[in-house]
Order: sequence, then C-alpha cells, then structure tokens
Amino acid sequence: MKNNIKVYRAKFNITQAELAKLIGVSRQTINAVEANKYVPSTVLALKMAAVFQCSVEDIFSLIEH
Amino acid sequence: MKATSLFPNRLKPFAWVIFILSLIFGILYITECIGEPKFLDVKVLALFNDAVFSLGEGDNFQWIITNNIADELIGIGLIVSGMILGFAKTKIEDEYIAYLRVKSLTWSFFLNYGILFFALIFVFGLSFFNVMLVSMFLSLVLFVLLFHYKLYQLNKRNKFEK
Repeated sequence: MKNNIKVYRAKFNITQAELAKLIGVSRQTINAVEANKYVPSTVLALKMAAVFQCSVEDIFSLIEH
Repeated sequence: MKATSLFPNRLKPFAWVIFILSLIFGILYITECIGEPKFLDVKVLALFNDAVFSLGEGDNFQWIITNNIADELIGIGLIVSGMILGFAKTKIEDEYIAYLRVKSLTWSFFLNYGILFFALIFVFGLSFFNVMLVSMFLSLVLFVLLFHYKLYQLNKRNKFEK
C-alpha cells in the first residue's frame, strides 16, 4: 500500500504534528503511516480524508503486483 | 478508536522504580548473591504449605506459618510494576502504540517459550527449578523491555522529521 499523505500535507501546508493533533493521534503515528511502516485503521484513514477533504482512496492506494 | 482499559499514565514513574528494584533484587536472589534477610522472616497466612522446604511439619493446612517473604516481595513487585508498565497509557495513547504493544507481547511470548523449549531439552535436575523460576517472569520482563525499547526508538526516529 502506498500513501500520498506527504503530498496532501504540502498542499494544505500542515506539519505531521498539526495533522496528528487534528485527528487525535501522536506525531509518531503519522510519521509511521507516512513511512509505510504502519497501516492505519479505517477510522484513522477516514479522519485523515476528512482533514484533507478528499476520499480515502485519494490518500491510500494498493500497489498492483 | 477507544483502547482497551489501561492503567493511568501517572503510575509509570512509580512503577519503573519498583520494576528496576525488583529486577535487580530478583537477579541477585536467583544467582544467590543475596540470601534471605532475617528481618523478612514473618508469620504469613497460608492457604496451603507443603513441608518440602521445612522438614518435620506434617500438616499442609496450618493457616499461619513462618516464612521468609523476600521472594514474595520480589515476585509481587515484578508482577505489579510489570503489568503497569506494559499496560499503562502512554502520553498520547493511540492505535499505533496499541499495535506496538501487541507486537512486543508477541515477541516476548515467542522468546520466552523459545528459551523454555531449549531449557526443556537441555536442562535437567534441580537446575530446571531455576529455569521455571525465571520463566515465570521472563515473558513479562521481556514484554516491558521490548515495548519500551520500541517506544524509545519511535521517539528517536521522530526527531529527524519535519
């Protein structure tokens, strides 16, 4: 799975810490998700999508094998 | 997501002190570097006491017996502090921390039973009693250490990002 969190963060000009605060997790969690070290729960993905005003699929997508 | 019920974070400093003390005294006790101090010989309430270690007493149900509580104190200290350290909320408790907790728990379980597996095959005689003694606490101790090592790594890694 890949993600575009970094792109969206740049677009909205918010840091990992700010995004973390907005969705109620630690900054480390955002960091881990962004680095593809952790796949977030659906709840977290939906919250991120709400912050970035897009759908979950815009942020997260499967890598085709 | 709501995490499963966890201990409050403010207990952690207190638990660390107990944990480290119990661990040090536990290791010293098992390696027989310290004996059982006399002032810990107290009368305790016993539901059951077989006479293996105190020859001559035949009755297993005596209610009040004299016992040295050094090992009891170390064991209780390790269990209480270990459970608090492993299952207390971190400063910001979220699903990633919960994930790390489960991961550490899995690893400690594997390590503990891996060690026990080899001990079962290769250790015989009365030494196996010591193996059992260590094994009782090893998975909890490993869990606490692994979990906090992961948290430490996480904080360190996080310093470099923007």
